[in-house]
Amino acid sequence: MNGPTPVTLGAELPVLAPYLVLAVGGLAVMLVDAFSGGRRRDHLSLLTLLVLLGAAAAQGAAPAEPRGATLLGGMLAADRFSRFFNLLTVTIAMLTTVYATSMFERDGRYRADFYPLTLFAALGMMLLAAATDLLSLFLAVETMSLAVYVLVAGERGSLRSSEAGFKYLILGAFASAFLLMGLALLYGQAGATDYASVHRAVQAAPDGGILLPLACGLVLVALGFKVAMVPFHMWTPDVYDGAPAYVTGLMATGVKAAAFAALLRVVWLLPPIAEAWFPLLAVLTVLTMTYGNLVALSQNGLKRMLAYSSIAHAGYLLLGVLAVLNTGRDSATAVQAAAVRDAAGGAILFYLVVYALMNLGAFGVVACLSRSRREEADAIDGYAGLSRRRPFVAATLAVFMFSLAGIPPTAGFVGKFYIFDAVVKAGLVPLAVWGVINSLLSAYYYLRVIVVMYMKPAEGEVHDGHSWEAAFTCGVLALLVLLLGVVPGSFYALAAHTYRQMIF
Amino acid sequence: METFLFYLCGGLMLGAAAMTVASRSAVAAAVWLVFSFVCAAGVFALLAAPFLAILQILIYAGAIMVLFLFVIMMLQGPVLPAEVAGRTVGRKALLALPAAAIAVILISWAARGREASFGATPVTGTAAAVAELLLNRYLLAFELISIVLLVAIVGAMSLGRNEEGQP
Repeated sequence: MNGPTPVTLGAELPVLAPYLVLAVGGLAVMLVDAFSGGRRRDHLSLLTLLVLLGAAAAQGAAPAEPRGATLLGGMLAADRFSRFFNLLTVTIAMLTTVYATSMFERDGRYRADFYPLTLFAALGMMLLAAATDLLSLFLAVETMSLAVYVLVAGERGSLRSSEAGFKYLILGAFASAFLLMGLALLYGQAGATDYASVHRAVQAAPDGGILLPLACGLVLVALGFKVAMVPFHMWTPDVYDGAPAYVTGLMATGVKAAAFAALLRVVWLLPPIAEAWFPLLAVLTVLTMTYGNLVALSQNGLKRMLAYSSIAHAGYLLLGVLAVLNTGRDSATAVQAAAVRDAAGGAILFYLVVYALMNLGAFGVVACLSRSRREEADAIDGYAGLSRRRPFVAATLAVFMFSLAGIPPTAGFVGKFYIFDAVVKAGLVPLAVWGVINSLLSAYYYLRVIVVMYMKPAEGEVHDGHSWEAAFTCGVLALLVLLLGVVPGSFYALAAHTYRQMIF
Repeated sequence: METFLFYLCGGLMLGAAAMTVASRSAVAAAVWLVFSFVCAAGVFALLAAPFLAILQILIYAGAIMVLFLFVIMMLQGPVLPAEVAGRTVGRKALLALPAAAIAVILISWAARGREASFGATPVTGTAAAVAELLLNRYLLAFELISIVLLVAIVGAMSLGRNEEGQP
């Protein structure tokens, strides 16, 4: 792609359809809301689910593109990688909608801005995973982030929600400024914004230049903020804790998956530069894992515990990124290096899906057991005796906790196994060992929840909300977690294949 | 002549930007920012981008800063107490350090004559040229920005609404 390619919109419409469906759907939901009187908003959630289903169907019907195809003159990729993340994002958004609606119904108080904002946030996530241009990368980050800021802050009459939204907004604005500065420097070096040109300019640049490492560092800071990498994690506990549970689930899974997708494309784009940052990135990864797990040990609120655990899980995923980066240096042959890189990339994709399933499951249980939006099922002590009161919900939460801790036969174990295996293959044995130690450490606080549920008698304040939809969804998610844990092979092969087909 | 004007505008812009950061009164900071934007418009004009220069004055120096000033005055622009400003000198220095580092890197990069490596093809920034780019090459960005703005408006509306009619 040299210079501006003419945009042929007509031919690209079928491939663009998922994005268009979400954008138009978001507008339609807003309009329907504006013209529907009364307090009930059932039809909005139904419409939102239909829009998301439509986007998934459009993605399914989109014609398979040949390798290397980009849309709108290099702005977006039309590869398997973006298809993978589009379907994942749509699934996450659907589950979020179900949880949110079940909470709204319990209160009899709907939050109309939730539905369009969720659709726009999903649009931003999809575009972020598909972005192959510095400009579309930045705008996708902004679309996603702005919508999520409002989702976090928008819980009526909750000071903690407002505080969380404000913190996230201020720090997120800083991260955006870092990103913009980094992208501007990249553009200054390359003279073009599409990844292909930037890649060429990076390859052609003499080694002595300091501009590219600086740009790469700034971009890494911004994406590190979005995935909650230490030391850019400060916002995570407060925001995850203060946001309503249904939004926290979206943030922990959707935002993280999209940011990792963008990161995978960017590190692939800047190999020599990213290597300059390799030692620092390795140190930060170790810190991310260790910090998240150590602080999670002493938490008494489930949401806050899951926030610190999400920092730790970002660390495991960053281990995979390190494995991707390291393959070029250690492996004997190019073929071998490519094989290890595909294995690591596939492991990251697999883990992102598994992480989304188990985390959304855990937040689904919180949504299910909350009495109302003001009394979320947060305190871990409130789960005492849950196995007697609600054996089914307790069993699903136990599955999610086992999976988060990485205990077989759950998908969490397999996901971690693939990541650590790729890290070892990439020649980073000490890092893999440290990851396993961390994983053992984390078992303590996950299993504690199970102990409280199954072995402690209920006393004092207990969580006893109820929602059929949320309980059913959690059941399905638990089944999927077990299924992926028992027969992961074909799905992992799909993930590795997807990564291999990634273009930039 | 052009070089002289460029350095004049650029120098004034930097000075105004520094004053924006250094002012203790929010209103004064905003006015310095307006001045900085006007100088930036001058730089754009000298870089053969007249359309951008006009937009910079109309939108940034005009519309956005008027809105800024309204908001500051509505919130009764706080003046930072002197002792707070004095206490944070160390912190200010710490914050200035990365900015200074980036400035040094950029200046040294420019001084080494890397203009040649800047690959973008120069175009004259007339309205027609900008429109051509916006509606062709950058169509997605153009449309996406409208969604970003829409999300911002929805957010401002829903967060700013009062609690009437709550159960």
